[in-house]
Amino acid sequence: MTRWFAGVVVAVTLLAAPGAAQDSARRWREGRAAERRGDPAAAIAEYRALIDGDPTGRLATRARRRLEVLEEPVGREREALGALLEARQDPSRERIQALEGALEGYPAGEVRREARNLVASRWLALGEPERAAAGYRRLLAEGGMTDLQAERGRAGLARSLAAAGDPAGAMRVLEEAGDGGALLDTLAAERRARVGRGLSVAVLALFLVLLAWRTRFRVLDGLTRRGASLAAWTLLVPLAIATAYDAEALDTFALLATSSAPVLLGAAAWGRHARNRRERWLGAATAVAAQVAVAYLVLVERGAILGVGW
Amino acid sequence: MRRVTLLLLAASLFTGCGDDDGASPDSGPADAGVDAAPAPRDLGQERELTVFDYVPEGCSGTVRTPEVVEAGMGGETLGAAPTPDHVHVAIGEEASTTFAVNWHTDLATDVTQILYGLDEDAVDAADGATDEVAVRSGHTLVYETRYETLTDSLDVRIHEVHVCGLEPSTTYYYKVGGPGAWSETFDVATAPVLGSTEPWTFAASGDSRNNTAGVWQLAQRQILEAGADLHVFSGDAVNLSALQTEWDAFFEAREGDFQVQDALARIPFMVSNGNHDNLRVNYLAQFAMPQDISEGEGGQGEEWYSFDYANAHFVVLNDTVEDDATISGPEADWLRADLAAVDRDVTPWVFAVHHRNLYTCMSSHSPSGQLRTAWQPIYDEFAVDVVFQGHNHVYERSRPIRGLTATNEGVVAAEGAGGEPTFEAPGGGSGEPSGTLYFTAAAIGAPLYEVSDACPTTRAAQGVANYLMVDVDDRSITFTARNIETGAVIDELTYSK
Repeated sequence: MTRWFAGVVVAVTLLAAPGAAQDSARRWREGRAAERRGDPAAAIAEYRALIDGDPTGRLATRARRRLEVLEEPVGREREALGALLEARQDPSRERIQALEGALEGYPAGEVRREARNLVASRWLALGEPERAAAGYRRLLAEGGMTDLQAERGRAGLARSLAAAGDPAGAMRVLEEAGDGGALLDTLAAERRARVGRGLSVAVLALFLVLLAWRTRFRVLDGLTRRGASLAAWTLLVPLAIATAYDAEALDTFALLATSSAPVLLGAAAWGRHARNRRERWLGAATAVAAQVAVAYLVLVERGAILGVGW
Repeated sequence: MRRVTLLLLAASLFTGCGDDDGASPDSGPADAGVDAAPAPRDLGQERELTVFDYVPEGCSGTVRTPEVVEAGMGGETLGAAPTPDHVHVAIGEEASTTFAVNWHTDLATDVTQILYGLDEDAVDAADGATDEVAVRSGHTLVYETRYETLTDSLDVRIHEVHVCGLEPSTTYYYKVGGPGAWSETFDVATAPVLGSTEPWTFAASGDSRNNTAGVWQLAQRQILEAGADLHVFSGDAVNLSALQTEWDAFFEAREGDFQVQDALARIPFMVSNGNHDNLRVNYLAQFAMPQDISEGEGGQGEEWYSFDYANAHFVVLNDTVEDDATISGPEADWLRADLAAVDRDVTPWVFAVHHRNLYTCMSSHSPSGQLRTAWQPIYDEFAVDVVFQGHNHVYERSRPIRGLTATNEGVVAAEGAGGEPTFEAPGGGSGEPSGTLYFTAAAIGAPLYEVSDACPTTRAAQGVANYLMVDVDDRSITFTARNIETGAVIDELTYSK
């Protein structure tokens, strides 16, 4: 370090007397309090005074960062910023309602977009998804957003539609925009789970009906007691595991059970018609291969494995 | 046959139930644990590895690299793309008088310098040391990593420089690189002097992996604009730590005219190891941390560490270990010794940061009984104020907890109306809290989970993208959790000791 540089450091240290540090701390606290009550002008004044009093201090750096946020909007937009800061601090129903009512009077721009986003998001959190969806639609109509802002807006709209009982509409919003991601995956998984659960129940009911009426229809005549146990195992165990595990596993196991049922029924039918030991072994080998294939396809479809080698 | 079937059925029913103790660190939901998949071959297996250590000029501690394919002091070579990127700052030693910077360049560039001073214009204009601008040199290293897939490989060049002998609570301007190839100029402030009662602020977050809808860069912008002095991160920066493309995305994320480097190069970013980071060389080589190697510790002393900031002491722990016995053995021993050495009159606030949860109200990522058994008695003994956890992509705040029942459940301690701990001697003495608060602020990009607040130890919980701002003002503290997507406050707690 050069002597000159060391001198500057010493001089700055001497200038930054304890009194200056205390004054900076006081002004920082005042500035923060002004922001919390939605008064950007007062906060700006405090931060400006802080920087003037201790320009190289740590708190001056922080004050400059706050000024970059607070000084960019001017006029009505700064008024909007005040309302936004206040609503962020206290996002109660009343405050959000008031902000929503004032939005149209604010100039278009970043602050109004952020305010619209806050309003829509809060309506969703407050259990009013239709109102939230309307808010997100107004946000998306604003324009001037970054790609990621638009993506988050569409995600909010999709969440609102799903909460309002329109999952198909939610998926349409995401698919039309080409948005993938976790939300679309979740919605798709929920749809698969609904279909999978329905199919599982249907297959299980069919199996039980066939079992009860086996004498009349002679469909499962070839099914021995051991075979029936195996069938029950194949169908019921995945569902039992799914029930004891989590939502993601439920989808996987429900689909696995549903997909395994035709293999099982086919194998039973083959066994009934097999004429000798060789044909029974051939049927068993085919059934095992088919079951492995089914399991593999199900796991790939559910993302549990990525493909061969993983 | 029937007996076997019944046994299998019983075993199946228990699959996925119970605590995750004893499981691999990567156990959990389907999206966790991918990093545990064995790589096609061990990194660096076919190349000779080296470790380089030195004491940076003006500093007191030894800096050591992890095991890498090349390491040494910076040279003078500029490659084809020598301009630094991924610039980020951290605390390597005493926070009030030092800072450390890491950055990345092309492989050929080995020049590793920093220019710094108090005058932004002077630093901006300098191409070397001047009367107003000082220069320091640092070390550089090359590590081998997978790049886009687990079957390719790439050498990555990282630079690190430590600046010591600075003034407390002062803003410095700096740029890194070398003559003719400097980064832009950034500002960083040193911490207040140890024990200071000045107000200061830090952010606590975790789990940026996957970066859903650009939440990571959005949060970084908010944290910078909020004026944070420090950022503690509870792990899982990326999903597959072995892939450099994921780290590139982590450091290069941007939205509009803001890139995360704008925040990471200005606010010291202190990381802990998550199960997705997995102590890979990528993680160890790209972040500077205090290095004080203790018995049984790996990662060249970066597996666990502590540091002071103003009137607070931080311990940063690793709960993703190769051998589970480490947690209750050498790491617990170190934790106890470290906390025993804390002078609560100087640093009345004590915070712990690590990845997995002692307390959470998520059933699918259940709390770790192992961590409770190993670490909570130490937290209790030394009256740790707050533990910042990650792992569960939600926001949660516990009630004050002190003690464990015979079944390893936390005992809720005396609390105030807002769920804050009570103090036997408010405003005086060392102010020992009735219990420790356990926060989970761990959704700064990772896919969200669902969470409940119905557990007896849980005070608040929400499944939203979030980070936590902590304002420390002498003996008062305010925790403000914000929804990243809206900036709205989702939880707030203020109390004094």
